[in-house]
Order: sequence, then structure tokens, then C-alpha cells
Amino acid sequence: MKQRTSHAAVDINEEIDVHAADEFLDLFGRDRSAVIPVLQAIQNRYNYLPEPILRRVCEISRIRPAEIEGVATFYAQFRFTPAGRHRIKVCIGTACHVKGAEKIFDAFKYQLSIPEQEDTDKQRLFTVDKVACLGCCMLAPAVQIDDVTYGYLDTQKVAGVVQDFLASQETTETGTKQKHTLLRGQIRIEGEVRMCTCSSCTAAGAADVYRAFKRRVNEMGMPVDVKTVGCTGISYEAPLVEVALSGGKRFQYGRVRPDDAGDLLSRHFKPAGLSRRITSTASRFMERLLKDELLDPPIRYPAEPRQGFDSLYWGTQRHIVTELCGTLDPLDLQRYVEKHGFEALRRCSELSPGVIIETIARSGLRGRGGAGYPTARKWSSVLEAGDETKYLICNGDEGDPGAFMDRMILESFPFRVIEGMAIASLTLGVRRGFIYIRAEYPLAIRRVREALRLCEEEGIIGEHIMETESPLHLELVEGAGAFVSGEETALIAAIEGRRGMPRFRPPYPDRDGLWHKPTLVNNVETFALIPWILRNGPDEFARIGTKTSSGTKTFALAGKIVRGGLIEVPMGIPLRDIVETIGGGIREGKRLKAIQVGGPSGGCVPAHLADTPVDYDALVAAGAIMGSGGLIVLDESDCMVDIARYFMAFTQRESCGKCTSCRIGTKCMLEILERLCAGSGTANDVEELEHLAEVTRQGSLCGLGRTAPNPVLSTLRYFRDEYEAHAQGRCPAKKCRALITYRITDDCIGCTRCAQNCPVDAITMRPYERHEIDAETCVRCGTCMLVCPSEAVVVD
Amino acid sequence: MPAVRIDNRGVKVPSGTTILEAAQRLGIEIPTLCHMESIDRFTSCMVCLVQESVTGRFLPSCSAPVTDGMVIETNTEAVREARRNILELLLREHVGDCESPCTRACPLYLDIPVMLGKIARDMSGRVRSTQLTPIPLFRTIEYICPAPCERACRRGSYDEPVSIRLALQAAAEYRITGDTSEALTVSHSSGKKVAVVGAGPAGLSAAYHLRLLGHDCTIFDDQDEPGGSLRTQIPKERLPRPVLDHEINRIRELGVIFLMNRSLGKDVDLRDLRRRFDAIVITTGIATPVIAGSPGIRRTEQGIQINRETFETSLEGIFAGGSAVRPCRIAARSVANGRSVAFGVHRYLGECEADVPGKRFDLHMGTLRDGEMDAFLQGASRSPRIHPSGENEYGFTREEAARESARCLHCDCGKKDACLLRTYAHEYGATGHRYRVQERTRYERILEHPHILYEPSKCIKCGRCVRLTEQRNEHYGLYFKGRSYSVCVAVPFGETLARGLEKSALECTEACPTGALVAR
Repeated sequence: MKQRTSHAAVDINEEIDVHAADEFLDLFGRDRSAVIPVLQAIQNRYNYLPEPILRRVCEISRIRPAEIEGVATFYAQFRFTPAGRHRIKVCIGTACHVKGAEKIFDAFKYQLSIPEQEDTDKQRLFTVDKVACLGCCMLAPAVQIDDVTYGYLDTQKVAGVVQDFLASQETTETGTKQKHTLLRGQIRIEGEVRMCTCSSCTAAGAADVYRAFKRRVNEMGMPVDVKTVGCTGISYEAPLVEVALSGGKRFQYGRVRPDDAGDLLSRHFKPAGLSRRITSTASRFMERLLKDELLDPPIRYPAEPRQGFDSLYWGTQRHIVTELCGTLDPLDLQRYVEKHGFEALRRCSELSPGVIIETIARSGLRGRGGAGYPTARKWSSVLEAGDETKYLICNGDEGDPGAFMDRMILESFPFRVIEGMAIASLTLGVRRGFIYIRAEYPLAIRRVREALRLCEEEGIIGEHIMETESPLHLELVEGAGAFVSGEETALIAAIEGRRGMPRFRPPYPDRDGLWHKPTLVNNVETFALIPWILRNGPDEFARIGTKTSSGTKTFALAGKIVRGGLIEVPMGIPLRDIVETIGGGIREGKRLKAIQVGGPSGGCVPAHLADTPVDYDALVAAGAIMGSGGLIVLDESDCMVDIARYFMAFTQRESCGKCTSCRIGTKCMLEILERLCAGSGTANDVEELEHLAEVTRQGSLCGLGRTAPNPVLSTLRYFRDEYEAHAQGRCPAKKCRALITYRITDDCIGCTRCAQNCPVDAITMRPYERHEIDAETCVRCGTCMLVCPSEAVVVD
Repeated sequence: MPAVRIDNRGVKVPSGTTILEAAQRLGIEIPTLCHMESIDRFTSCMVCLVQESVTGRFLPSCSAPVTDGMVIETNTEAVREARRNILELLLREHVGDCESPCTRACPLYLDIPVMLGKIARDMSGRVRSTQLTPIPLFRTIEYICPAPCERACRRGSYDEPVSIRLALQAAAEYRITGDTSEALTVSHSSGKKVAVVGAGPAGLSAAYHLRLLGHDCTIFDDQDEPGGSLRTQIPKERLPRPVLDHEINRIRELGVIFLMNRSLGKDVDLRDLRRRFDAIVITTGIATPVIAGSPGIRRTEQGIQINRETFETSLEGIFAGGSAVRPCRIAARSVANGRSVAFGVHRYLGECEADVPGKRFDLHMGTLRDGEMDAFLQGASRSPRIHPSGENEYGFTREEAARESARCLHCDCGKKDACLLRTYAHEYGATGHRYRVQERTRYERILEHPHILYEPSKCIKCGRCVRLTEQRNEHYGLYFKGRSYSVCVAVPFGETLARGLEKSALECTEACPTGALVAR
């Protein structure tokens, strides 16, 4: 449930020392390309950007005021006013949105008495913001407070979360120290306990469970190795524990609680000696006695850990990018090498560039970032570019709300990505590369940084790539909060220290890229697939999937399904299989309505077209796109107009503002959609929406604007009746707040729980009498429905 | 060297040339807003869209490089529509009025803010008027006009409207604005003869303009003295006869012949006039009797029936205007109408296309939002409306006129003649209100720089000023603040515009394609 990263604590009373500017410029450099790291360093220290420090930066460097201000105001990460001591970030990614993130946001503000126009409470303790996507979609709705992530929230849990967070802040200060250490090497290891501690698993509570296992193993003196491994993607069962016996047998447990550690271990291993056994039993008993049974923790788990793994979830998948998931520690370089890691790289050092590119071409690999451009063709183009100096960029700016594949790959398989980049470096003669990771992925940043350090230490990259003469220096670049910087020319601008605004193409980066040099930009997943293809041969890859879409693709499966998580499937698999077989169908017995594919550039494939295969062209024909891999499953309680509005709001907010069509076109479209959801739309609005979609598409500078109308167009194509209903003031899915009313029926037993919990006092307390909701005051947060024990609250 | 066809004309250009540059070589013009020679391209406005015929794709010609075999259309209906769509989006973002409400209300479409500006500074001789044709009877009008301009005056919703009529009257009396009713000379003669029947304001105006256009003009009237209802309906306390006579003399001095005491139907008839003149204009006023001897002229309920575009009656060569067609009620309207009829006759007489200043595209801001009046008040005098002290028999002293004119808010756009957005909006027939919304951007007025008026709500984010200040190495300069729809141009660290533009202020105002940055 909780995850800690190593940001320094912020003291808002700290005096502003303008010489911090000097310190950071020394660290990062004095020209334009240092701007973003310098700004990030300043904000890390003060929690905002004090103007005196920015001015000083300009005084003592080549950075101009216009440049630093232009960049600082462009990226969402940066603040210009002091924030509260703690930052509460409410995720409004797609999966969280469909599970009521807006209500959670409002609930936090009510809870902390923050007025509507502001974002910080009076005591300056908390600042509440919305964030684009935390990448913890299967725990939706999710919230991050400083470095601690909470999942499965609802409006009722908000108070508990705040208390829990404040309490945890106190305990970290005191802390408990490890008393016992396991004597290794003297005891034969009988098995391993493997756990993934990636961002989403930790958000589900894995870190606490991991610590519990480590502690228990020590206390009980068991001959067991407790280790972290890369994610299996079975996040819906997180925290997940796999017990692997030295004989080869493996047991998976899902939804494990820290308390279960002792039990689980006892099932498979024996404690060291009798006295230990007795001590351990006794201490467990004492713990149970002392625990306050009445405490209602924010997250509830099922009573019994479930044994066995779901073969349906697992069996349909094909692991290439996620090969060896669940068995390798992400940062264990030795094990990676043992399992054929860097073998492909070694082989490539003996092959000519032409042969390598030919191999990739034969595999049919297409860029996995969303556009699906043939990878070999891109590599060829950079190869043919005349310049001596070339660059490599790994695009880890996964911004689609509801997509977290790249996060998983970077956190769990960083070496694979590095290997792919090193192969590209050898093939194209590139000596310097960048891995660009968005700011919202702090764990990925830390792991990749560590992985790079380890690779350099071992001589895999650095002055020489392994035994070759070719150097490769890879740098990690942190994003600063802009979805548009996933567009390759905008990403290049960000690395150059500019506002992340795209440029017109042609010229393409393969000829005129970073600092006007030929640059290869590929997605994380694309690079991660390269080693496998070169090791196993292109035909093996091409055999999987369809004629035009070969190999596998990772997807982040989230939304209204039973089993969500990261999956990797062969191309060509029907969407229905993903939803029903892998995902286990729709939760709470509801019906499938549509599958949103491709994020803000994509579309909604309706239930009657669920047999559409996962294939670049087939998805386009259905009105969607492959996209980077976000799949959000929608049921009958989801409003399609609201979904279109949600994506348009996202795109409009993330627009860089440079070109007329996108800047103004998306704004106009959003206003129409908001009117429709608020009940003040007209039939004319629907026509105008179609016109604007064409205008926006036609004149936009980059893919963001060109594809922004897609969610609208696809929902209009298949769900036009919902638009028309909204134009008449009705929301058939009963989702849009302005078009619904909450009502209490005769089933009311007068328990007053609704009145007690209503955040706006819209219900008068009347013990033993039927309660009533004042429609004018009601804000449709749904809390009454949640707390009512007799299901007496209905939505009209 | 790639070869490309633009509008079906071929040209070979060096590799890397943009479509815009290639078109320029062929002499084909493509509209641009954000593009500037000698400054890096920005590809922002998208007004320069052209269509590539093979793919059907629309491309920004300022940035798209030419490729061999490309086929480009720059002026088809599809391209024009694409550009019009872009312009309409920009017009939604762009908040401001091209013309002021007073100008719009004035039948003569007088450029009132400009004139008031000159009066306030009491600067005679400096010509910056947008009047394309001079105005006869100007002084007369300023004595008697009921001033629809004042009813429309925006200042009126703050305290009281500017006393426009009196100010313009003073301008005419003291010859401040210079070019309204000065004597002009006729440069050439067309050899054509036009008869004007009725020497009221419409007829006088028609004759005046026809004379300036080079035609011989004779006015017939049944009264002793010319002037029509100006003389018979308006008491001399309101309109001193010397003023009226003086202005009628100016018309006489142009060479217009006045034949008084000639009554239509008795002393003169239409058949007769048709033989002697090449065209006839009937401006006999509101109480026009049935015209004897001319059964062909059709009438409506209100008056003589005319073609709205040509002003011709049902009889060829016979035109009509003024209250004889429809009650004009105010002199300014009659005078304006007389001008339009004169140009109609001029076209009929086969002269080259008359340059009739028609109404150009005019963007409306609509009702002011909270706080916007304060923005308009910046730079204007806060004093209440001045009433004439009585020193002069009629109207303001020169000094009073100057003080009252300083109350003008100048809500017209300072770049209304040079604004490219307006020019293109007019050319492409864009409407300003396609995407109007409930809450538009707030209008602001920034006067921090002594020589610049900055109106951020007119900015179309083309980036010309930002790029220019960077190139000119301004210490602060201008930058793009924020992103998305709320992106705006500002000075770093909240410094004033004066500190932002220390070297390149004037250049920026010239570079700005709209009225956002204007020199003052």
C-alpha cells in the first residue's frame, strides 16, 4: 500500500538562499540545456520556484530570463507559489476517472476545508492537485501523498487516508531497526520467496509485505531467500508472493497481508530450532492480542490468501518484452547475464549494420509507441544520414492516461532497454544517448539510473561497449510534466532545454533532430524487443501475430474488469479474448459496453465489435488506433459522452498552444462537450462538433492535435444516440452529474448514516424516518449511496 | 532540384525550399500571419495552408519543404475554406472591436475616434484619417445631427457619452481635422452630364460627389434657395444660415450649376431632362408628388422604388435617393445616401470601377464584462461630460473641445487599417461569431510602455514579437507564458513592458500582425 522514494523532506520555513542557483548550475551546466534539471533541483529543495533564485540563474549563466520563464511556465510540474508541506496528487487517469476520481478530489478538498478556488489548506499542511496518471490503474482510484501511494479509494476513505499518512510520517522518524540478521552461507537455502515491489504492487501494499517476510524469516531462522523480482503484471492480485522451493515447485499467493507472512512461511519451511518455533508462535499470539481489532484500515484484504495462479490470465499471454518476469531481480545484472542478457549485444558487435537492420526488417517490428512506424526503416534512415555526430533517444514519456507498460518495463527490465539501445548505438554509430522518463515515474527513474551505473561499472556501456571500440554514454533525462513532450520533436525540444513545442516535420529527426543532428527516437518497448529478436531470430518474432502486425504487444488492462494488470499478448488476438479470458469479464456482473483503445488519440471499440483483432490496421478500421497500449474496459454505467469529454479535457490541457487548430479547436470542442454533459447542449452542437473535428484535424501541427478528435469521432460513430440524449438533457448511463438526481426510496430505514456522512448537508437527520435529499444542495458525490445499509438510494 | 506544380504552373527549386518560397517565385501570393522574413519559422497560425493534390493533405506552406513531383493548390474552394476555418478559430480567440460603436452607428461611417484623438491633441494638419472620400455639408451636419453616435458611445455606460457632435462641430469650425469640407478641385472632366432634381441634403451630396468624379452637374430645385428641408424645416437658431450658405457655396465653387425655382412637372419634365442629360438623379425629398409625365417610375409604400445595388429606378438612366426613396430622418443619412447614389451613377456612366468604400469586416466584442470598462478607461480623461460654457454662441470653445475629446475611450482598434487578420477575414468572408461563447477572454489594456498600447486579448500567439526580441537580444524581451489555450505573451519576471522592450518596441508594433501591439 505504501511506497517510499527518497525525496528530501521539505521545510517551508527554510530561508530562500539565492546561491542555490550557483550550486545547481555548477552541477548541470550553464547553458540552455541545463534549464530543466536546474529548475527541478530548485523545486525539489523549496517545493516551488522562488523568483529571486530564477533571476540569479540568469545573472550567472547564459540562460536568458525569457528562456527560463518560458520553460518554467510550460511544464506542469513547476509551481510559483509555495505549496503546503505535503502534496496530495489525485490521479485522474482514465481508469481512475471511470471509478470516480473527480469525487475523490472533491472529497479531499472538503476534508481539508480547502476553498474551491484554492489548492492549499489554511495551515499550509496539504496542497491538493490533480495529476495526469500515476500508472497504478488497477488500484483505481489512486492517490499519491508525497511518496506514498494509496489505492482502491472511495470518498469514505479519504479521512482515514489523511490520518494514516500523518501517522506514518511520525513513525518514520522514530523507525524500527532490524534486530536479527540471517547467517548466510552457513545454512542451506531451501527456497526463495519472490515479490515484486514495482510502483503499482507497492501501492497495493507489497513493500510492507516484503518487509514482513524479511522480518519473519529472520525471526524464525528460516533458510529462505527473500528477494524482489520484476513484475509479473498480475497486479489485480497484488501484493503477490511466489514461494519457489529448491526442488522446483512454485506456489503463488495473491492479496497477501503482512500478517500472513508467518503462516505462509510455515506452510513450506521449518524454523531453525524448537525454541525458535515456540518463540515465533508465542510472539504471533501476542501480536494478535495487542492489535486493535476495531481499527478500520484504509485498505481491506480478503481474509484468506488465495493459492494457485490463474492460468486463464497467464496462459493466453506470450512473454517477450516481459520474458522472465517474476523471476529476475530488476537490478541483478549477474542474473540477467546468466539468462542470456547482453548476448544479443555481443553478437551484434560482430555483425554489420546492414545485417542487423535486415534482421529487424524481417521481424516486421513496428514502433510500439503508438504510430507503428517500421523500426528498420527508421534505423536505416539514421544510418544513411551523413553526419558524424548522431544521437539516440529512448522515449519513456508515456503520457497516455491509463497506460503504464513502459513504466513496468523500465522498473522491471531496465537492462533489456539498455541492451536495445546499445545495439542501436553499434548499428548506427551513435555515441551518446538519452533515456527520457516522465517525472511521474520516480521509481523507474531510480531503477534506470542504478541500472545505467551498474552497466557502466561492468563495462557494458561507457568508454567501450563491451569489448568493442565504440563508446556509448547514456544519460537519464527527467520529464517535467507535459504529455506533448512524448511527441518526438517536442521531446527533443525538452532535452534542448526549450518549451516542449513540436516542430513541423519534415525534416524528421532522423535527419534533423537533437541539436539538428540525425537522431533515432524509439519507444521503450521497441528497444526492449530488440535483444529478443536478435537472439532468437526474426522469423520467430514474425511468426507471432498477423501479417502486418508481427510479434507481441504489451497492454495495460484496466477499467471495469475483474483482473487488471500488465499483459503481453500476441498481435492478432481478438479484444474479446483479452476482456473475457485474460480480464475475467466485467466486474459486478455488468455488461461490456466498449473498449477504449489508444488513449486520447484512440477510440472506443463497441461491444458488438469486440472480435476486432489487436492489429494496427484492423483497429484503425474500427475507428481506434493501437496506441501505446492503454486498454480501458467500459461497462453500461459509463457515459460515452463523458468519456469523450474526459479525453478532450486531457488533450486540451496538454496542448502546447502553438498552432491555431489545436489550441482553439480543442477548446471549442471541449466547450461543446461540457455543455452537453451539463445539460445545456443543443442538436446543433453535435453537428458543430463534427465540423470542428475536421478543422482541428486538418490544420494541426502535430499528432496531438491531429488525433485529438478521435475519441469524439469514434463515440459519435457508435454511440450517437447518447449524444442526442444529452442534447435533450438526459444521460442514459446516469453518470453526468448535472443530468442526474439522487433519491431515497421507501427502503430507507432511518439509520441517519447518509445525513451523517453527507459532505454538503443536503440530508436532514430524521431518526427512524425516511430521509430526503435536497436536490439543490446535493453535489452528486454518491457518498450516501455508498454508506446506505439498505440500498435505499437510487439515481435517476 | 525538385520540380513542383503550384496552381498548375511548374517551377524547379533548390532542395529544402518551402512551398511558400516556391510560390513566391511564381508570383503566387499566400496569406501568412506568423511567418516573417529573417526570423526562424514558427508554424503557428496555419493561415498559409495549401493542399497537396496527390495525398489530399493540407500543409502549412511556410514550413513544408517542396518534394519532387508535388502538386499544390493554393486557391481552390477547399483551400479557401480551410483558411476560412482557421481565421474563424482565430477570431474566436481574438477579442476586440475593429471599429468603435460610434462609427458603426454613424450613417457616414465617420472615423470618430481618430478625429477625437486629433481634436484632443489639437493637432491640425496631421492626416491619418481613414476617410476615403470627403464629406459635403459637414459643418451643417454637426450643428443639427441627433448624434446616434452618442447613443452608441461606450463611455455612456460608465458616466455619460462623449459629446461627439459638439466636438466635431468645433473641429469643423476651427478646422482642426482638416480634410472634411475643404474646397477641392476637380481634376478631370468626363464629358457626361447629370441632372439632380432636388437641392436638399441628398441632392447636394450627390451633386458634390458627381462633380468630384468629373461629371458636369446641374441641380434643379423648386425653391428660391438650395438646401431643401435643411432650410425649410430647421430653424435658424439651430442651424445658422451663414453656415448652410457657406457650405452650399463650396459646392457651387466646384462648378455645380444651380437652377432654382424650377418645378418638376411644371417647368421641367423628365422626358426633357432625359434628352439633355446622360443621367438623372431624383432627390426630391419625402413629400414627392406623383411625377407628371413619367408614368414608368414605380413606387413602393415609402417612396420611389430603386434597385438596392445600383440605385436605378424602373426607368433606365434615372436614379433616386434620399427621402424620396425612404425617409432618411437625419441629414447625415441623406448625405451618405447621396454619395452612394453618385457612385451608382458613376458606374452606370461606364467609368472605371468606382472605389466605393464599402463596409469591411468588423469584429464585435459585444457587451463588456466586469472590469473591462476600467481597462478602456485607462488613458482616457476621467472628467464628467463637459457642457459648453456659453462663451461661444454655438458649442465648444477650442479648449473645451480638446478636453471633451480626451474622454473618448478609443475602443476602435489602433491598427484597423493595417491588421492582417482583418484583411484576411474580409478577403475570405470569415464570420467573427461562428464560435462565440458565453465567457470570452477578458479585454485588457496595458500602457506600461510610453510608446506602445498592448492589448493582450487581441494576441493570436503568432510569436513574431517573441522571436524578434530574442533576435534583437533584449535583456528581458517577451516570452510565451504557460501553454494550451491560456498561453499568453508576457515580460519575464513580471517586469513592465517598458523594461521588456528597451530596443525593439517600434519594430514589435510593426511586426505584430494584429492590433495587439500598436504604436501610440
